[in-house]
Amino acid sequence: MARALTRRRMLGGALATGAGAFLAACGGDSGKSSGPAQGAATQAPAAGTGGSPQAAATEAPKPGGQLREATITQTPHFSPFHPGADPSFVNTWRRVNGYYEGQWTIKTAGPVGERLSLRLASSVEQPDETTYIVKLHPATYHNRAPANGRKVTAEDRVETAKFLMKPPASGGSFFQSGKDLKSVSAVDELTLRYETFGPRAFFYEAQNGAPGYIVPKEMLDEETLKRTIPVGQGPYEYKAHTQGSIEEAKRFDGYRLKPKPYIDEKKLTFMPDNVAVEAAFRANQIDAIDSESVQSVKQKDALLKDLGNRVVANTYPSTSGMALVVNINRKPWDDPRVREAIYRAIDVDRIINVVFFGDARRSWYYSPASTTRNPLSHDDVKQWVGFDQKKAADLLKASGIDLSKEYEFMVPVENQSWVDGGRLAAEDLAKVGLKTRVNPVVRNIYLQRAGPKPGDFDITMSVFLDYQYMKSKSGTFWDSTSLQDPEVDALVEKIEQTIDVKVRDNLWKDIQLMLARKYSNMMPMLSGNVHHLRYAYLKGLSPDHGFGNVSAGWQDERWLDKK
Amino acid sequence: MTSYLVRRLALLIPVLWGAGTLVFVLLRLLPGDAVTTLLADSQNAGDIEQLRRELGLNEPLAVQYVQWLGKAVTFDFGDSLLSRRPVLAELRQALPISAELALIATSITILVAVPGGVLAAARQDSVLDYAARILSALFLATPSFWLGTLALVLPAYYFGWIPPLKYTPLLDDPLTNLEQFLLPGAILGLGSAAVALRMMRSQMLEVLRQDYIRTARAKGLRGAKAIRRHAVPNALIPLVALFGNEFARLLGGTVIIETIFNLPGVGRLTVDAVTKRDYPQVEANVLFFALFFVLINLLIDLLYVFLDPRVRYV
Repeated sequence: MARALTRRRMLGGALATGAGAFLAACGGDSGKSSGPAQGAATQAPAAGTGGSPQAAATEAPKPGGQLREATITQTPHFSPFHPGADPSFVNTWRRVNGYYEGQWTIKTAGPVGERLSLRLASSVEQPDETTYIVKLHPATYHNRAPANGRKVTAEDRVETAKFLMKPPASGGSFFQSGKDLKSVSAVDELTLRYETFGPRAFFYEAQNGAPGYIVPKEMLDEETLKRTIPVGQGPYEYKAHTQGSIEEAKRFDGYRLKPKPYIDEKKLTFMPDNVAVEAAFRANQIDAIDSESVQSVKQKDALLKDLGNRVVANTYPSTSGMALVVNINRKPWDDPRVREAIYRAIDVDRIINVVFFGDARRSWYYSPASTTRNPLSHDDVKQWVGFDQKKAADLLKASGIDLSKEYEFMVPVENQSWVDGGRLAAEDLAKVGLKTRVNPVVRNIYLQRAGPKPGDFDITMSVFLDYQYMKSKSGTFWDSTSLQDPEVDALVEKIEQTIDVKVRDNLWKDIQLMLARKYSNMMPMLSGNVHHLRYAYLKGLSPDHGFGNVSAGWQDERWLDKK
Repeated sequence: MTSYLVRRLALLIPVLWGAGTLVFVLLRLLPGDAVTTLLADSQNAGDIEQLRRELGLNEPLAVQYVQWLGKAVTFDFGDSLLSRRPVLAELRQALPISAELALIATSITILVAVPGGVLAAARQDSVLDYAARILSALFLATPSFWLGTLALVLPAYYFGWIPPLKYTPLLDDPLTNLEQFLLPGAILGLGSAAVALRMMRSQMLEVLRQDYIRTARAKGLRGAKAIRRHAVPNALIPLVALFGNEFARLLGGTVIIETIFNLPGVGRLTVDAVTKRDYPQVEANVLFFALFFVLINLLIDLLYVFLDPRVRYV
């Protein structure tokens, strides 16, 4: 029976995508997963300090001005579908965000089930559980070759989706698994028909952010996408850039939602040094900085103290966190007693206090902010993974592990809090007799060694990983973090195929308990807060779209309250 | 002289071949490759091999080497594995930035070290001499990354000022360009000047004790004139090599200063390429450095002929 899909039914409460989780994994800092473009699980804005974006939203937006942002790493190309720079896609999105308007975005706040925000899609209907009919708004591309201001058509989306199905384009498992998206076709000039192989809970999530963009079909090959100036239909069009230094965009006069965007120009500066980013913010050469550069609550407090009421800070609970990962493909980590010993040996509260200055909390598989995943608290699983060093020592002895051996504990060097946290964890492990050597390595090496199965590591760290990574075969590059357990695989598959939110909420609970009982080798420790600061004149940041992270999410609401 | 020049230029070939081969092998000994970066986010593990094939990274090392060498001799270094732009275009874009930085830094080095060293030597054991020696020791002991960070953070903290963020070419807007380059150039230049000043001072002290200086003075040449005409040119000879090599080193990029001051120069380009295993980019950059070093050294050797009439090349 055909049924119109309500927003509540459509979204079904599930927002975090595996791509989002992995992005966060690559980005390192848990705080980097707060933008909707990353498909991260939702979070309610919390503890805003020094300003009220909601109040600002009631003011009449002023047009004009230039928004100046910075990012710590350059992206060497223009393609929205190919990675190629640290930290991962985050910076690709920063660079191209605004050039494209996707079919929809997913808000980072608001009631569960009401977070789908249609953009280029004017409506979505679901005649049955495997078919989606998406109608698009009329829109035009930027007036630049090869599209030259022509209309956006459903055929463009069809070709874009087909392009995403083939690596090295990053379509994520939904596009590339061969088990999820069955077909996509154009019904007419502005209507699309998606078919999935079965009910798929993450249809919308999978097309949030870059995979939902509609690129002119003439541009769909890797080299063209990487080399050619982006031609989208978003509120901003390319103006100029100096590779490795700066990129400038200007408002697209043909944008379909007039009079938006309000801000005339955007300037994104690539600044690889965090200290320089902070200095630039202090000198008011950039208008906002986010968790990429504000890495601790102390830094945020110092900036607030020094810059006073000229700036506004917002603090959110991160949707991700810091976790240990042990390599299940190696002995002795395949022994659940050893894994339990690790859980019980580490004093996570000490790490929270010493490394994060108390600005974090214990959590289990999902951050408490990840409301769409029905996160269990640490207390819910304490009986399996609670802190108990005596028990840890006994478990290690009982396992027969060679305690004279020293194991490598690899950490990505770019993330200082992980390195520090890793050192404290290593101290705790030593207390129960497990010798480890903390080895900070650069991200590329970290990825190479930790990513593909069987994984060239004993112990390492990661952010919290989403459901795909629980599976024996994650369908992603990051393939060595699961328990490789058929029971887990089956439950994840069930989650993926369950559209009903309430049923799925119970399944989320089941799988988190199952992972605790089986002593998951991805060992969540803590989830911190992310901090964003902006000058008070930057307004119109919708909390629905992660307003603190001015680079992420939808951009056409922002405006500058200054001459 | 001509045969010397030909011999030196001919030496370029083995040097470049050696440097290129070394980099080619060392890069591939490192764990990871560009595919790791390209496919880091959300790719099927099975596709890694496919991409490796497409990029030619699955070929045996010897085959890759022969292919690379075949192209390198025609100066075809190919495209960056990450940006898919020609690596030489990337290098061309970064080079003027590092060149300007190197030029400013070297100029500051010369402007500080030469007069400073001369004055310190001419007024040996005076307050001036001690000040010069203490300052040079201070700059020698101060790492440029620390000085750079302070130079950026302190003005931002106290005056709300930092150099402009956007790289502006010299010809587009000389003032903005200088505003951006002067601080990092000064930091690099003062670091090098600390070494050069001490060297200049000791050279001067040695020269000032030479017979020909005594003769010049005995013939009635006044102190300053004797120093300017006879002591300084002779004391400068060893420093020419220092300045030349310093310039070449800076042109190769000063990653930390480029990073702190947001200058997209050769150093940042190379380190980025190494981190991401962008082999063609690293190979092209390293070969360029090698070429430049050899040419600078050749130029310095030729300069000796003019600076020191006793030097003859046959």
